[in-house]
Amino acid sequence: MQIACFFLLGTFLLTLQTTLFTSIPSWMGTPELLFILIVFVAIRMKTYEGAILVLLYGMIMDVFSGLYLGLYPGAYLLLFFLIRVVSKHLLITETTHQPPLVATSYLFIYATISFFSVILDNNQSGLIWSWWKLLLQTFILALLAIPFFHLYDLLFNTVKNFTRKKHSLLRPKSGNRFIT
Amino acid sequence: MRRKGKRYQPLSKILLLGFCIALFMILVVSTAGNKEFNSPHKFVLEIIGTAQAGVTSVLSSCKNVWYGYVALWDVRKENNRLQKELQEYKAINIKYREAMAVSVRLEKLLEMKESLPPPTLTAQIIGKDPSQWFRTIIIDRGASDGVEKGMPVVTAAGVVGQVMNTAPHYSKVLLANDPSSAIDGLVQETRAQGIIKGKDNIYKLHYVFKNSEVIPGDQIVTSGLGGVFPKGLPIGTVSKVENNRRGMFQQIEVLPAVNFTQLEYLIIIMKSNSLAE
Repeated sequence: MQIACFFLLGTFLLTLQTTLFTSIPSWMGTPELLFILIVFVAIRMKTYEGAILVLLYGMIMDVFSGLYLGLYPGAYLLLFFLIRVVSKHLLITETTHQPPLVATSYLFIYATISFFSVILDNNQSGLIWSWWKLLLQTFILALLAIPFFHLYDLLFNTVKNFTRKKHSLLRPKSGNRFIT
Repeated sequence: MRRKGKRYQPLSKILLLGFCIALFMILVVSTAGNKEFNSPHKFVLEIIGTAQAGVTSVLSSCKNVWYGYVALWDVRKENNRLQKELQEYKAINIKYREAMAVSVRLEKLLEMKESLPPPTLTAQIIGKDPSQWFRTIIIDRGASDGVEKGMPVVTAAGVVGQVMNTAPHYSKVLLANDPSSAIDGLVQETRAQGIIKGKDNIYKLHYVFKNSEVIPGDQIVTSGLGGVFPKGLPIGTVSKVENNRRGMFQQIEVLPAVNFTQLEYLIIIMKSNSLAE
């Protein structure tokens, strides 16, 4: 249920990013809401659920962006497991740490995708690298991190409560009313 | 009994999950590094492409309403300007007609092989690449319309790119300003040949020898080599030429003939057999 909900949310965000947000002038940057969702999934969801979702997001991104397939799933999974490992040792799940976490993750993914696309292309073509755009995007993502983390958190808890209620209704009751 | 059941239930779940993950991993690993879409990719493009087409149609109708209203403000001034332009173009058109008639007559005299222009198909852009690294777009025409991989995509202004992947109703196009794109071009005036490659919002013309004469303002057109783009399509205008001491080639920057930020409708040049069938 959670996976399906967040998968639909991811596809909805990607649709927005590829249609509505492309009309925003490039000097204003693009709000990459799907990326914030990926970082959220890495922090809040269980490992296997999160890994599946991130893999699916990557596969969808492969269709709508880039030339080589497998680039996004690989990079996103790498980021996912990196965040999982780091979050075990550091308190990065706190609200105050969300903007720097999202910003650092974006820098990591930017470098990873650039690196692998150069490798896959056998260094035949140059790379679109703009420090100005990179810093602008990082800043926008850091700015949007807290409100969107709250929004995703709200959805996450709603789905979780709904699933719990549904399970408790479907669970067969024992004959003894005193044992719950 | 209940405890035993509880022990086995997670195991089956884990097995199912492991199976799913293994399937996904096989899919990812088998396609990694490829450029061709497989069935799941085509399916995703079909589903999300439909959503994109819906959002784009809503957006364009909103835009039409807004621009339809705003355009009325300067309509008289615009009309006068267009009337003037029309007169100028009419005069140019008469000259071209005359030239065309001469050309046809000469072709007949020379018994040249009849060359028909290739069939075309119009398409609308429904989605753009959301990333910072690549320059691709999604269009609302696919394999069911006869679109095939490698077909050139243009506008009236010039070259836009070429079809990269197709699904039944939607296709992905690699724009000419992507660094991975390479188009055979030539300088219209001097016929010096080179390869046009994208570099963010401009092109770079590579492999033009230093002894070839290229100056800012020269027009670059497709050379027709490679068989992808027809000959003579406008690519852009030379904006900067540098001759370094080292190396055999000139460093040439080209301003695209097409404004990539304002693309909406495109023309796909079909291969001769695609539409004919």
